[in-house]
Amino acid sequence: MPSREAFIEIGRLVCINYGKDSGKLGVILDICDTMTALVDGPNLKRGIYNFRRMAVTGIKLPISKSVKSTTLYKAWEAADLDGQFGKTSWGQKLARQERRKNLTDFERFKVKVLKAKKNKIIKSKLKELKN
Amino acid sequence: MLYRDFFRMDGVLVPRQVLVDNMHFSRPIQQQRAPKWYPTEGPATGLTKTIEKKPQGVAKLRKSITPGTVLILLAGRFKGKRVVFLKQLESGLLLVTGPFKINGVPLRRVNQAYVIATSTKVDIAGIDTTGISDKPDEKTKRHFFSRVVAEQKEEGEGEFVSTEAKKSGLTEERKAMQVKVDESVIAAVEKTPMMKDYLKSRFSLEKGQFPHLMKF
Repeated sequence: MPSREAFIEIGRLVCINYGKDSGKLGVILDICDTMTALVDGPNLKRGIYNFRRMAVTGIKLPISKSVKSTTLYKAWEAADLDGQFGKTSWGQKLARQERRKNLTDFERFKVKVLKAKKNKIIKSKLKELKN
Repeated sequence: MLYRDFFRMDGVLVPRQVLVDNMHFSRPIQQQRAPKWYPTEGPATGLTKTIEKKPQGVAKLRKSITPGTVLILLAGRFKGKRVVFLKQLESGLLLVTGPFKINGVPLRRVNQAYVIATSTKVDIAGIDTTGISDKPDEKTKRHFFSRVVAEQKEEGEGEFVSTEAKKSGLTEERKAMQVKVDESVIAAVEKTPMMKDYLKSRFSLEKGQFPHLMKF
């Protein structure tokens, strides 16, 4: 049993985690068979995706089966699914990964220097506490 | 009248010319002998095209490179150094400066192909680089970056190093221009926190870093 109420069902928000659409959010619109479902999202092409390629989130949209894309997007905006997902620790982790991937050379340099500074402070404090 | 001028046909001697006249050939018999030597190229037919070579223009500057952009040099003595781009010279090469006091890179010419353009920019709006050009002067055939050959003074034997020999390379003009340009660049660099340390450091790849996946 999942630790939270997160079933594969119509309206369930999922995150594609394999393939070229990796990292994108979509909503299950219909179940095709035991392994695939019809999924659609603002950044995702409406289509059939395998359950093995998606990870189920704890968020659900109250929609009926196989709604049109436009109806889905309206409901998506109304429920602010991007915002809801962004608030979760999972969403924050994805955002952090995206940010790190898009760091410029100068930013990477700053991160390196500040990280070294931070670790130096931590080490010195730890040494202090040990003594 | 030689024997070879006659053919024996049906027991009768026939003059060669008579035989030849009565033979029907699909091709006319060459009366002339084939020449012993042929030229390697045939006569000009007027069908060959001579393509006029267009003068090679100056290399087009990448959109990502604008005055003030921080560039990473990829080759040469200063490889890995981060420098500030000033302008594109007449030859197409890029004029960059360290600034010299920050990372030891002087006013230098660099080829666009050996450079990574970062998205970091330094504001060098008011900088005057008009005195720097690599277009050779008509009379002297020299330009700002022309090499200066040392004047060697012959002192005593050739084996001994002359203490009077002048150092080759830098003219006073270049030194003065370096100081003048770097003044404004350094002032702009110091406005951004950590920019000076950034220009001081060298670029290198660490484990797990792949240039084709990195944003600069």
